[in-house]
Amino acid sequence: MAFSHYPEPLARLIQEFTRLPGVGPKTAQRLAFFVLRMEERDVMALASALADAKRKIGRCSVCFNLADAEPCHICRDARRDRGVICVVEEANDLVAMEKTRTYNGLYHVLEGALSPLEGVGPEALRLAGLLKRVKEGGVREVILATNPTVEGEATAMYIARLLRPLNVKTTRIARGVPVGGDLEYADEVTLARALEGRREM
Amino acid sequence: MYLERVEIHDFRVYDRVVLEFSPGLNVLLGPNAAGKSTVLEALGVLATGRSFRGATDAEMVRNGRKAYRVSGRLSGTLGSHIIEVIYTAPADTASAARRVISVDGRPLARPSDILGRLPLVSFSPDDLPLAKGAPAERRRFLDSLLGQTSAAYRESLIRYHRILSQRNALLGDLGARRLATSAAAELLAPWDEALAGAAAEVQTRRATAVAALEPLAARAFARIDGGHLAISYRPDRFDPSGRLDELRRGLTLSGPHRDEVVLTVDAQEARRFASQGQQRSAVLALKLAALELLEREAGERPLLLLDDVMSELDPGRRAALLPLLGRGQAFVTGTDRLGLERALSEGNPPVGGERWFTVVGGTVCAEDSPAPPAEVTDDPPAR
Repeated sequence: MAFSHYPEPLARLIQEFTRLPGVGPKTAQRLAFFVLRMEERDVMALASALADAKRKIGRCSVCFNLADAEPCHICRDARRDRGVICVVEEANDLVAMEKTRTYNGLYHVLEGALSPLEGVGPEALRLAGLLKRVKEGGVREVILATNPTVEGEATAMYIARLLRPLNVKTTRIARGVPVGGDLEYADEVTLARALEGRREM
Repeated sequence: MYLERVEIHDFRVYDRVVLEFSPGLNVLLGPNAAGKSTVLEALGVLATGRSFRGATDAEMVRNGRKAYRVSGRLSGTLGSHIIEVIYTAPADTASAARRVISVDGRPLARPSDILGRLPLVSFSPDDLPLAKGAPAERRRFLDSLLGQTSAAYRESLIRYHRILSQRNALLGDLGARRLATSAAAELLAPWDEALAGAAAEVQTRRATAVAALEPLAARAFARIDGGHLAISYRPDRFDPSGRLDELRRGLTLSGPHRDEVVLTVDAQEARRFASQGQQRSAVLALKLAALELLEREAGERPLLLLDDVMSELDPGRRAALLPLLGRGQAFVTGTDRLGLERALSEGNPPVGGERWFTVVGGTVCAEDSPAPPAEVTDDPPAR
């Protein structure tokens, strides 16, 4: 045990903190010492928040968004346009999309992107659920909003091929120049892609 | 554009060296293994972020030190800029190495964005494989040339290689699982499509670069060697129909990673049939063509690094090289002072504005240099 020169409960706390992403031994020690200095009430609140989140948050059975209800609040919302599904890789991409306040359709979270290098194939993604939703009817358009990475692009291409026989309009989000940015300072690659994705006015 | 001042810290044999360069010719003189090439290597690190000798960052850190730093002040028509490369070795097994490249104090988001800010062409006896070696050598030359002129090309190439490794991983996996060909085709389809797209971007640019390079290289070769040099680009078109074989071997068997650039001297393939002298001339011609092409693209003369070359060349080839030393900034290393002086005096017109440095065991001393050229006299070196 790496932290054996500490009393056992403290050593264990440090050890647990090192499991978190981006937390090395030094940060773990700092966090643990901070916890020891906190009010007991605050520590309890933190502990129950951790346990609650783990216990109460699950995946929506329709769109696979993170949710504390079944189906999630978005799938339940009657004011939303049920004819459009926006496909994203992860739940945090959905949050980013929601923040725009311009999208009023439903979502589908894939929980990943195709990556043979990491052993992620189509079976690891929530594709069956998506196909089922489209086949059930009422869907006019599927927007593929996977990341503009190699893996995200391949995933979008794969889904577009799956959807082709179902006769649903399938679109890919555009890539381009950031708003508020000067064209002069946009990097060459972004500009080239924006030019490819230009549209008529 | 030229490198006005360079600082090298904890880099190979060097503890700390500060060098003020001439905008013209800079000669580094010293015995073998004294650290002449290391100075050029440090300049290469400033221009490209990596060693042109193929060394890793860890290998370039001075023994017993944890980090190296190379910084340089560029001066050009658009003012002066400071480029700095700092590499820090991992502090312990849990942490990672860090390499920060900054321009005027601002760290670059992608280290590869340093390319093109200080265009540079290097030439050393180690470059002979460019004519003599496998196709990979010529692809690397083309990629490094294109990488210095186009961020879009760098992006396409990085993307192509990423897709290629993904597709190879999938081929290996599918081959091992012995899936029906139609099922395999289904899974490969998005990667085929992605690869074809990136391949087309890479190959279009390579074709354009070779077309631009050929007349320049042919002219240079005729001047150096008297013969006829031709360059032909043979793109290997990505063709997913060879899938069965690909599945068996777990490898993508066509595409830009198998492109060939064929050099022909007097209608014979240079790689196999040219003499060593012709191959040397072909390499030199390609490098000179790259120099001209970069100048045309960037609007400014790139830096020319000649490592241990002058003494190796016979008078004819040297004579072809010398006129180029009169234009732009150049760095030349050698062991033999008299030989170098003689070679330089053969230049017509003679090369001027040079500064000589003596390199011995980890120190570099500027020799009593002639009056600095006019454009720097009213701009004293800043601290």
